[in-house]
Amino acid sequence: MKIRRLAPHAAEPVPLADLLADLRSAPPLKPFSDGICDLAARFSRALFTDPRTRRFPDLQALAFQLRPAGIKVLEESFRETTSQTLIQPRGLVFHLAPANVETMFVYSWLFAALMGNRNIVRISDRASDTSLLLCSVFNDVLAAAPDAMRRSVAIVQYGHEDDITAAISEACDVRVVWGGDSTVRAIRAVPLAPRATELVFADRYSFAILRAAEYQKLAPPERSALAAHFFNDTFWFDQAACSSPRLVVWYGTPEACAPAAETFFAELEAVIEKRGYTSDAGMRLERFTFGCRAALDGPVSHLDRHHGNFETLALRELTPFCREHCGGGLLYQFHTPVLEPLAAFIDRRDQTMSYFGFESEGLRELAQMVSARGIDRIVPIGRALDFDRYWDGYDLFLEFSRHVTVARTGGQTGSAAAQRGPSDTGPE
Amino acid sequence: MSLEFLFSEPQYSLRQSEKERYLLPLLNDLTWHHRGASGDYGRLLDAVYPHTREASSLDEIPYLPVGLFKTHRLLSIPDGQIFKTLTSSGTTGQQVSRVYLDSETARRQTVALSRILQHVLGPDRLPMLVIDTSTLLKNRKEFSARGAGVLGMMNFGRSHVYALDGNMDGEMNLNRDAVRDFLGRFGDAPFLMFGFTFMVWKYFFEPLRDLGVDLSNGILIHSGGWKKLADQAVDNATFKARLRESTGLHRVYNFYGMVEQVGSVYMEGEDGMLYPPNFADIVIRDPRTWEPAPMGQPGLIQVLSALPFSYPGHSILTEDLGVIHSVDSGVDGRFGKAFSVIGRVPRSEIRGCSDTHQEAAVKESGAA
Repeated sequence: MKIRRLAPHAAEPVPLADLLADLRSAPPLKPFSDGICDLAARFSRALFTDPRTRRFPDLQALAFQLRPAGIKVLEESFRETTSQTLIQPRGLVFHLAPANVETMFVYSWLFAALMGNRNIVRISDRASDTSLLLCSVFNDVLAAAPDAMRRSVAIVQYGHEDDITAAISEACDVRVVWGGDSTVRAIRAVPLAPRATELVFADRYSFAILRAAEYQKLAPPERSALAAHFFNDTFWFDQAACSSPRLVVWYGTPEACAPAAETFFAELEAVIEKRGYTSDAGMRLERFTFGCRAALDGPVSHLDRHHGNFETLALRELTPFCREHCGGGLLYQFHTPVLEPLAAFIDRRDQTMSYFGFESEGLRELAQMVSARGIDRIVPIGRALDFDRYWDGYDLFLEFSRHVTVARTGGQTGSAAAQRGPSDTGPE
Repeated sequence: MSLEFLFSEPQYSLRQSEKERYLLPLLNDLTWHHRGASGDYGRLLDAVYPHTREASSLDEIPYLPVGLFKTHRLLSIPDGQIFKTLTSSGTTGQQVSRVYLDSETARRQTVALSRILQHVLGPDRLPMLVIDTSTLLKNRKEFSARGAGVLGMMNFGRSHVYALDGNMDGEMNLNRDAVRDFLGRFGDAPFLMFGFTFMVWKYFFEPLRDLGVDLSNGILIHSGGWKKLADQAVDNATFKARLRESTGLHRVYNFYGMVEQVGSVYMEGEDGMLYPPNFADIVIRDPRTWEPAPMGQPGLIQVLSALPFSYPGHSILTEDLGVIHSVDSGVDGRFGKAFSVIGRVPRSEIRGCSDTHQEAAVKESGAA
C-alpha cells in the first residue's frame, strides 16, 4: 500500500508501512519542546511573508496563532491546569482533516504537536488550492527544520481508500475525525487499536445574539466595525465553518429590534460590497431555493434577499426549528423581548454563541440561561472562528496527552487531579 | 385579451411591447388565482414578495425557483381534479419534479404545442420517424419524461416508425431496415423526425452518417439539452452542419422547454435563436442582483407562461443560463425576444460540513 506524502514532500508515493514505522520510531518529544515552538515560529513567519499566503485573512489568523507570543499564551494556559501530573504525549495522532475549513488541519496538528505527539494528517484528494498551498509552505518550513521535527509529522493525501484509513487507524494512538456526522459515522466503523482514543467533531450549529438597545447606542463607525467582525465570523469560510453564525437573535423590544436589525443588515451589505465578497450563481440560486423551502415548511414570516448579497429569513417563532442549512450566506433572524424561547431552543448540536451588548452580570445570566442543554463556546462577535484548546467540549491538551501519576514513597499523593484517568477528563 | 387570442394569432408575430400588453394581465390574473387557490403559494408570496401588487411589467411578476417542484407538492386545484401528473426525467436517486395538471391545463398545453409546431410543420400531419425505441412506451405506469415527450410529439405525425431498437437494459441500436423502409415509403416528400438531442446524435446520426441516406425532405425537431454533447465538443452549429453534410437534412429545430411548463416550448428559428411563443416569455436575471439583465448579458433564465392554471408555475426561475441577443429582429418574420441557452448553472462549489459528508456518501453508494 503506497500513499502520497505532501509534507515532508516525497516525489513518489511512499509505502504506508514504512511511513508509519518511521513515525512510530521518531524520537519522543516533550510538551512545548523547543523544537515544536521553533517550528511553529518558522511556519508563522513563512505565512506572514509568503506572497501566496499574505492575502488570505484566514491564513494570516493562523500565522498569528503560530507566532511565539501565540504559542506562549497556550503554554501558560497549559501549565496552569496541569501542574499536578507528569505530562507525556500519547504517541501517534491520526488527523482526518475537514474540507470546509482549510486551516483546520494545521490547528489540529498544532495542538497535538505541542503536546509532543507525532502526527499523520490526512487531507482529501479533493483538497482545495488553499489547503495545498498550506501544505507547500509547511513543507518548505519542515525542510529547514531539525531531523527530529521533520520525522515527527507526515501530511498525506488520499481518497476513499478504506484500507489506508484502516492501516493508519491500527497504528495510531489517537484518531481525530473532523468533517461532520456522516464522516464520523463512516470512520467510526473502522477499528482502532485497543488502547487508542478518538476525538470526533460532528455537525454543529452556531448563532449570534445582539442586544438591540445596546446596538442602537453605537456610533456609526462602531456599527461598521461590528458588521466587519460579523462578516469575518460568517463569510471567511462561506458560512461552512461550524462556528459561523447561521441565526441572528435580536434581544429587545419590537420597537428596538426592528430598526436595529435593519441597520445591522444594511451595514453588513456595505461590508460585503466593500470587501468584494461574491458567491457563484449556483450558490445564490441554492440559497434562494433553500429560503423558499424554509418559508414553505417553517414559521418564516419574511425572506429578504438584500440585493443578492445574502438572504435573511425572519422567524415568527424559534421552535420547532430545523437546523439544516445551505451555507453560503443565509441567516435566520428572530426578534425576542425575552430569553426563554432561546433557552428552549438550544440543543446539543449548538456550539458557538457569539454575542454583542452583554457585559459582566448580563453575560453571566445569559450564559447560565442558554448553556444548560448545549453550547460549548460563548464569545464576542468577531471571535467565532478563533480556535482554542477547548473545542466542542474537549480540552485538546488533555486529549492529546497522557497524565502520569508519580506517587512519593511513604505518603499519600493527595491531589485528585493526579489520579484522574484520561477517560474521565474533560467536560462531556 | 384572452389566452385564446394569443393562441389564434400567428405565433411570433407580436412585437414585444404588444405582446407584453396582452400577456401581463393574463399573468397577473394567474398570480391572483394561485394566491387564492394554493395555500403554499400564498404563504410564499407573503414571505418573499410581501409588497406584491399588480405587476406593471413582466419582470415584476413574482417567480419561484424551479427546485421547489422537486420537494413540494404545489397545486392550485383540489386533488380530485388532478387529471395527470407529470414528472421530470432524472437518474436513479435524483429527486424529480412533479407537476399536477387538471384537464384545462392539459388542454392548454396540447393547443399550445400544436400552435408552435404548426408554425414549423404546416397544417398537415406528416409521416413520422421517431428517433427512439418502441419499448419506451411499453411500461405505461412508469411513464418517463422521455416517454411523455415522445408521446406528446407523436400527435403531430402519422405512420409512425421507430428508428431505434432497444432492450430493457437501455441499450439502443439503429434499426437500419426500419429507417430504409420508412425512407422508401415517405422519403420523397416532407416527413417529420423527433428525438432527444443526444440520442439523435449518438444512436441515429453516428451509425447513419456513412450510409448515404437522403434526409433532405426531413424536418428534425429535437430537445433535451447539450450537456452530453458539449463533452464531445458538439454544439448546435456543429450538430446542424454535420447532419446537413452527411444526409442533406437542412430543417433542424432545437427547442428549449421543461416539464414545469409543458406546452410553452421555445423553438429555434431559422437563425438558430430560440423564440418564445405568443403566450410565453423569458426574463434574464443577473444572479448577482436578481435584477433583469440587459440584452447581451448572460444570466439565469426566468420563464413566464400563461398556461399553468392547476399549479403555480406561471413564473419560474430556472437553473439555466441564457442570453437575449435581440428583440423584435423580425428575422424570418419572428418578433419578440431572441435568445440562446448557455447551459445549466454550475453547481455551487461551496465547501460545507456536508463536503466530507458527500465523500462518505459517495463511498457508501460506491460500495453498494
